Amino acid sequence: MARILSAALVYEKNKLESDHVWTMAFQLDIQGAPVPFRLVNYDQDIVFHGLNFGRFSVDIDSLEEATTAALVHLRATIGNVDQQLQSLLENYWASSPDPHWEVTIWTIDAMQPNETPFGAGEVFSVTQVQTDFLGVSLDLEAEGLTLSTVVPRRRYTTSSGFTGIPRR
Amino acid sequence: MATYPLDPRPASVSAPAIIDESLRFVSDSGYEQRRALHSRPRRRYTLEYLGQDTVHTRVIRDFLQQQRLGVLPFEFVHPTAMDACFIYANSTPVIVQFQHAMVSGQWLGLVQGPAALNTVWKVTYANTIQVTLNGSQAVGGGTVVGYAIPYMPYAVARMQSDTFEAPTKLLGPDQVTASPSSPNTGYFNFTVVVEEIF
Repeated sequence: MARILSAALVYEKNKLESDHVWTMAFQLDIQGAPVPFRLVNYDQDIVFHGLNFGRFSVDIDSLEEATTAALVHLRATIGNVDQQLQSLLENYWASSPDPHWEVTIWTIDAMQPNETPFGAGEVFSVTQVQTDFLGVSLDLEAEGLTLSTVVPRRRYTTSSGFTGIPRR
Repeated sequence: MATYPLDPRPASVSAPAIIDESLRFVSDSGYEQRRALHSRPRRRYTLEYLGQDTVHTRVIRDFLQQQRLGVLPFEFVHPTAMDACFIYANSTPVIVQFQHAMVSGQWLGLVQGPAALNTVWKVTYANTIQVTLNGSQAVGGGTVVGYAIPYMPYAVARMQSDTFEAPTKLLGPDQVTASPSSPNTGYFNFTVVVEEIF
């Protein structure tokens, strides 16, 4: 997904050293649950576009951009010492034959979170979960719909309409 | 939440160690990028108790056990330091001036200032010698000389290998006697490390 960064974010991003913290905000949309679960991987609560994201310990493994049509997989490990997430899993994941959880991830500058547009979140669906006493691992897969759509919608032919272009 | 005991007073409280994690990446070219990981630095104090009798040693042991050593957070008021400061009580928010070495988000407690201000405050860094008290209102009375005490609303004890090591025994058994002044009490040295958390 192309990201358009605001001037303030470009300035911050390109700094060689900074005391601004880049981190990630997460929204779990849980099928059947009354409200989304919003957390931020930070030591303070963050208000992001008027929504309160609670501080929570989350680790995420390497987040890669999709350069091919392959689906992007990543794993978010969320602290489970208080069993909060486990109880959500017991209520809304284990009880459903076909659970549908979606995670939206925003990369934000914690000092100026609203510089990241709300629509710029990456949407993933949860494919698998594991829990232990310490953490919950969510296996995430980039939302299939956006990647399975071929843009531009046209048929590829040998010449693709450009007969004059030399090719091997 | 529990408050760290002020009695017994430690024989020595270290100047705070400062903890501030960062991300750092150096390439082969020697070019380096750095970025802070958290909203602000944290402090860590080392409290040395020297020659405490058995009763006072047990006060600290009991407190640490009730906090399950490093599990439950507690409030920590610096047991030995009070910073003399000027309190500009006519401004909103109230400004406190002293060589503070604090950062936005840390707390201090005021004593002997205007009555309405004698409590604990989260501060915002203004400059190297001034902080403002978050949410405070002018109370009048001009500039008042008071005292600022380092205060941490959330702190935990940090233990090596989750163990509060046996205090060094100077004298006698670990026993409580009928009279506190009895020579049969034990005397001990020990150290507690207290760390600020978010």
